[in-house]
Parts: sequence; C-alpha cells; structure tokens
Amino acid sequence: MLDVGNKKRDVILRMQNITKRFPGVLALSGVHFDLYPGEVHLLVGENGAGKSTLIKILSGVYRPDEGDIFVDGKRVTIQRPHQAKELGISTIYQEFALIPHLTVAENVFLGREISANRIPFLIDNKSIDERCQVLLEQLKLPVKPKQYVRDLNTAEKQLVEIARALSTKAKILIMDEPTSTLTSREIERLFDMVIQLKEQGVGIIYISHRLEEAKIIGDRATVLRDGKHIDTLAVKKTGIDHLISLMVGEKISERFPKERTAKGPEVLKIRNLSKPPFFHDITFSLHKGEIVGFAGLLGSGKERVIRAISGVEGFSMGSIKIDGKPAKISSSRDAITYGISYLPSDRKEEGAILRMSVGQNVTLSSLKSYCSLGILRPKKEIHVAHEFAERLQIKMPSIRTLVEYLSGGNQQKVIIARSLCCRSKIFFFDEPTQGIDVGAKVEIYHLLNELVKQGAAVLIASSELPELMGMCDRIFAMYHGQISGEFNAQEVSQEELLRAIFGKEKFLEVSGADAYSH
Amino acid sequence: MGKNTEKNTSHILLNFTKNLFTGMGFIPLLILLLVVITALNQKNFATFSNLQNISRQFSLLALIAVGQMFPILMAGLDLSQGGVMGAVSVLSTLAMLEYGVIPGCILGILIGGMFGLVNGTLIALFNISPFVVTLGMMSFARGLALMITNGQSIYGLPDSFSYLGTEYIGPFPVPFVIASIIFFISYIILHRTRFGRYIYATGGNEQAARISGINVKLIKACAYMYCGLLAGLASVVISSRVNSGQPNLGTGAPLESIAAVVIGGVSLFGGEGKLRGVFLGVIVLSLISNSLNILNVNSYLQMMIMAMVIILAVIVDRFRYAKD
Repeated sequence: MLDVGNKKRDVILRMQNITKRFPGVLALSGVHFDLYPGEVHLLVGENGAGKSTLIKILSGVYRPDEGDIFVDGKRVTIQRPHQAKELGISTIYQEFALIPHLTVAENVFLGREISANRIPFLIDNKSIDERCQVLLEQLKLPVKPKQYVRDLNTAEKQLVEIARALSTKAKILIMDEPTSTLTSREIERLFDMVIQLKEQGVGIIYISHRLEEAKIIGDRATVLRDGKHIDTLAVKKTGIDHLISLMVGEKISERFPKERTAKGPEVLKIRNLSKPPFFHDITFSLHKGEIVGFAGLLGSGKERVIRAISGVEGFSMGSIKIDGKPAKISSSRDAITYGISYLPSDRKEEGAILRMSVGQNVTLSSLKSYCSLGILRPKKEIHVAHEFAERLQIKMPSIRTLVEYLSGGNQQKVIIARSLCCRSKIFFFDEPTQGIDVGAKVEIYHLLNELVKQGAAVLIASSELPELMGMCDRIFAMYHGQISGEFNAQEVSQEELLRAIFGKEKFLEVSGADAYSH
Repeated sequence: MGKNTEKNTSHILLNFTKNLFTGMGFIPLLILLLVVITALNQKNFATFSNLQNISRQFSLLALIAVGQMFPILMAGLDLSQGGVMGAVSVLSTLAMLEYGVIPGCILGILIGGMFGLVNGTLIALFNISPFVVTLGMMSFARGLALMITNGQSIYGLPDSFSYLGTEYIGPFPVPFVIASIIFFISYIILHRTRFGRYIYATGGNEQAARISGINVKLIKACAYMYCGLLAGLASVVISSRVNSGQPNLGTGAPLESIAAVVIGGVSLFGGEGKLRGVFLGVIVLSLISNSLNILNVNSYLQMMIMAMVIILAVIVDRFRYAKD
C-alpha cells in the first residue's frame, strides 16, 4: 500500500549511519531510518535497544557522534529541541507535558501565545480560543478550548497533546508509547486520528511495546537491537512472533510457557464484595496451585477488586474467607499476615523503594524475622536476601545496589522476592508485565509457574488478553464493576472474552477487530 | 576536533564541581578551611577553653539537628522545635520548683515528646502538610510559654540544676556527653531497628511502604515524637545552662537544625541521608558560628551569613538529588 516508487512520495526524513556513544556504552551504531509522508513507521526493540536514543537525536535532545540527518532531502543538523520543532518534528512523550490548571487552548498555544493588536505583552485569548476550536474540529476532538486540562481524562489529554503537536504544523510526529494508559475504546479514537494524520501526509514514528496494537496501525517496522539496525520490514506481511524473535535475537520457544499444575483445595473465597460505585457483588474463589485472571477495560474495576482484597483500598460490603476461615483485612499489613501479597502495576510508584538497596527491599515485609530483642541482625538479613535474589535470578551488581538501577523485569522480581520472603501464599498481581521487556516477560511467566508449583495461588489482573489466555487456568471478565463471565482459559476464544469485557454490547467494529483475533 | 576536546574539558570540570558539592567531600574541606582561617587570624581560637565552648555549642545544635533529621527523612520537617523548647523550659522549671530537679527534667523531656506526638498524629491521621501543622504548633507552644509566665523568666531554681549545662565529666562538658549518647542511640535506631528501616522506607516511597505492610501512620507519629523528645532534652540542657526558665528559648532552633541536617546531606525529599552527615553538618555550623564570634563579626551580620549558608545548603541539596 505504500508506494515507494511513486515520485510524489519522496522521503521526508532520512537518518543515515547514526552512531551515538555514551561513556562505556555504544548506544547506537550506524543506524539507518527513513520515513515517508503519510506513513506510520514502527520503531520496535527491547528496552535499551536504542529506540529512545534515536528519538532523542531526532528531537534535538542528544547530538549524534556520527551520521547525517536529511529532512525533505536537505542535510540538517539538529542541535537543540527548538530546531527540531522548526523543522516540523514534533514529539509526544509518554509523560504528558500539559499543565493541568490551564485550559486546553492555553496549553495548545503555550509558548506561542498570540498577542492582541500588536501589543506584545497582552495575550489575545479570544483568537487563541478560536484557532484552537478550528484545530479541535479538524481532529474531531470532543473537548472545548475553554475546558481545563485537569478535567480531561487520560485519552483526551493524549489527544490534546497531539493537537498541540499538530498546531506547530508538524510534518513528522513521534509518538512514544501513546497507548500505554488508554483503554481499548480510547485507542480506537487515537487510531482514527492517526489515520486522519496519515491522510494529511504527516509521517509518524510510532514506538510501542504492544505489538498487537502497533500492528494494526503500522505500515513498516524497524527493529533495533543492542543499538544496531536489525531489519526494516512491511508490517502486514510480518507475524508478531517473527518481530519478537528479531527483537530478542534468539527464538523464544514460547511467549507463554504455561505449565499445568494440579488444582488444590480452596484457599480464598470472596463473597458479594462491593464498593460502590467501583464494583458490586464480586463472588469467586481461588484454589491452591491455580492462576486466575481478571480481564477488563480500564475502569471495569478489575484492579480495584484485587486492591480491595489485599487491603490497599477498602471495601464496603462482603466477606473474605481464607482457608475456610473468615478474614478481616483493612490494611496491607493485615493482608500480609493472612499471607496475601499485592504486587502493583506501577512498581516505581507503589512497589519498590527505589533509593533503597535490593536487599533492604527484599526483606522489608519480613524484617521482624531478622531481629532479636528489637535489634536487626544485618548478617542474617543479607543472607536471606541473597538466597531469594539467587532463587529468582535477579540480575544485579550486588545485593547493595539501589533498586532504582535495575530494569523493570528485575524490579518486579525484587517485589516477588519480598512477597516470598514474608511467606505469602496468595499473590495478587496487577499488570504483572507492564513496561517489561519481551524477554524478561517470559522470565516473569516462568516465575508465576514456579509459584503455583510450590503451592501458591495466583491472581492476575491484566489488560493484555493474550497474557491472560496464555498463563491462566480460569479467567473472569469484568464489566462496569461486575463479573460478566467466567471462562476456562484453555477453551475460551479471544472474541468471547472481548464480548464479556465489553459488556456483550458494542464489540470492536473498527480496524481493531481483525487484529485482536489473529 | 579542537571543539570536541574543549567540550570534554568543560564536561570533566562540570563533573568535578558537581562531585565536590554532592559527594561528602565538600564538608570536611569546608571545616578545614574554616579552622585554618580562624586559627590564623585569632590566637584564642585554638585554645582549650574555646574547644570546650565549641563542643558545648555543638552539643546543643546536635540534639535538635538529630531530632530534626527524623521528620526530614520522612520528607517532612518540624518548625515547632523553637516554640516547644520555650514551653518545655517554662513548664519544666515550674515543675522543678514544685517537685525537684530530676522530676522537672524528666517532665520537660516528656512534654517535648508530647508536643512531637501531637504534631505527628495530626500529620499522619489527617494527612496534612507538616509545614502547616508544625508552624501552627510553633506559635501555640510559644504562646503557651508566654501566657503562663506573662513573658517573664523563671528564676530561683535549685543550684544542682545547673550541673547539666555547666559541669564537666572529665574534660568533656556534660552537654557533649549527652549529645554523644544521643548520637549513639539514634544510630542504633536508624540502622539497627525496624523503626529506623521503616523511616527510610516511608520517606523513600510512602505508598510502597504501606503496601509492604508498614504501619506508615505509626512510624510518622513516632518520628515526630522522637524529634519532640530531643527538643525537650535540648531545652532542659539550655535552661540548666542559663539556670532559669525562658519562654523565649530557642527562637532560631528550627532554622539551624534544618540547616545542619541539609548541610549533612539528608535529602529534603525524604528517604536518604546518614547520621554521619548530620554529625558533620552540626560541626560545620557550630564552627562557622564560633569563628564569626571570635572574629568579632557583628551579630546581625552573623544572622545574614548563617541564612546564606543555609540557602546554599538547600541549593546543593537540589543538585545532589536532581534526576538527570
């Protein structure tokens, strides 16, 4: 569909032989990248493959050590971010750069305010609002220029960011993990917008870990690995497994290495658990040796349920039984004494104490065991921490390394080790592999297998359906705070699951559908 | 090529200055500089009696700085120290007139602890900013002290009370011995007890600490209580030195203690910092103050110099913990 031979479609961006060295690291070595107008070019690779470095070079944050950049066929040097903007290169980062207490229009024109009647210090709010309105209509964005950004939801904020990028007349748009905080429906809106942009001839560089989604929207994909250009290929003709194997370098035998474990006795029984307006009448049970999944969109309440049971947030009605006995859980501390551990999705915000060492993080929930007469015994503590770090194969220079410096996968392992260390029997994972590399994901899955083999029960709330279907025994679908279906993970089709999490009404009609049922 | 080398040199230089200021290296350097300058200029600096003077100044600042370190490790702070010291000075000396020296001292320390506990409980239970709570408490405690005494000092205390502030154990002033004991106890608390570990964890990431099963509210309340206890102790020692109850005691206390803690490399963002650093920070501040005294610097100018040192310390703190 992308006619490269067509003369009207000259390359708008070409990066040639880009090399970038950091002290001790060759971040990029001789990387090529090109972009056509109206094309969505995926940039994929594991963390540390060099994606962000390449993007930062293009947007003027870093300067390359070697290599040339051509925009519209002309050789350019991009020394500073504003030079990138002048060349029509606009970046939308994962973290929103919007100011919540300003209006949409004020945000869109921030730093480029229009002056009234040539009086340089007064801002002409009226014409800013009008120009913003025109822009929003073009993009079919359902927000008003005068709305405050703090009142928008995540998706709307993301779209406003895009509006801002476009208001600078961007020819090249860089989107870094644009869907990581969006629900499926919001992703559809985003993709509609991307398609509009393509029609307007904007070239888009799209970075995402979510290959299933990226495949829907992408035209070509460039794979980076260890700072090297591995391949550039047409997305439609490439399977996801092939892409992954290019990213990882060696062929992963299985993305989901599920091992079946014999189901043991019931360890957790939840009855009529409610917390209006977030969830109602949740009833289910969890057995020893099984992995149960909770599927649902953002806002379905799936993560709220597990946060309630594990004492992170309260609930208003219902009962919890552990090993057949009623349990009273009103804080994480209570949950831990009952053997329940909650492993949060956002490990940097809620999981690890980043500025503490691996060892101290691992023993944090079980410090009492290494005390005698109220005084800590550091030798004993370090010994135990070492043992668990080895068991989970946490990759670290030393047990005293700050958790901050570990990769996402290893941070997750540190938190699993902490839960193991305080003898948890029930593990609640919220998005267990969010933000974790493909290779490290498989390691986490192996750990899940290991947990249930040793008699634990695992509950996973995830928005990645393939993950749930690949790793769970049973899956509950949640919709609007209620359980809308229970499925055997081996038998259920992705379509059935999707119907349940969309409340059986509106099913993905748009472009998404075929990609979800690959 | 030439451009490249230039860039490299400037890079190295930048890194060097950054390390100088962010690593611990910069404090000993500052101390050395101060000592040399003052000793060269004034003969009575390097005398035994001045050394004892410095150690006394050091001890009083040490008590409140170590106390202040606890709230700061939890990304909070205690502005009420000064007011609490005023209230403790008045209440403990009044109690002393009634019940004797030792009960009066103990009561004073406990009252300090009570103020701290109230601070901590309000902050933890209602999740309000430590700044506002302790600022309010500062005014409350000072008001209480002034109201009880009608702004007057309390005199006529037993002679034995002055032991704490003026006597020596061997060559060491008593306050210095007390401060040393407090350093030791605080070291054990911070590095060898669960309470200490939980303070670092809570200061580093409160939500993660909660999810790890830590009773964050209790830890907060206890940290402020410890700070209050030490403010009480400091107040008793100073009251002993002036052998009277002073409602206006400790007006500059929070500023100086925060300064010592921050100069010592404890992050105002919480979760990071060592007692060793606070020790050095206290030495730096008491040396600066002593040097300025000996050099006969105008006392108002001294205030201005101290203020600049403190602000500089906070700027360095920014540098040190800035994410790059």
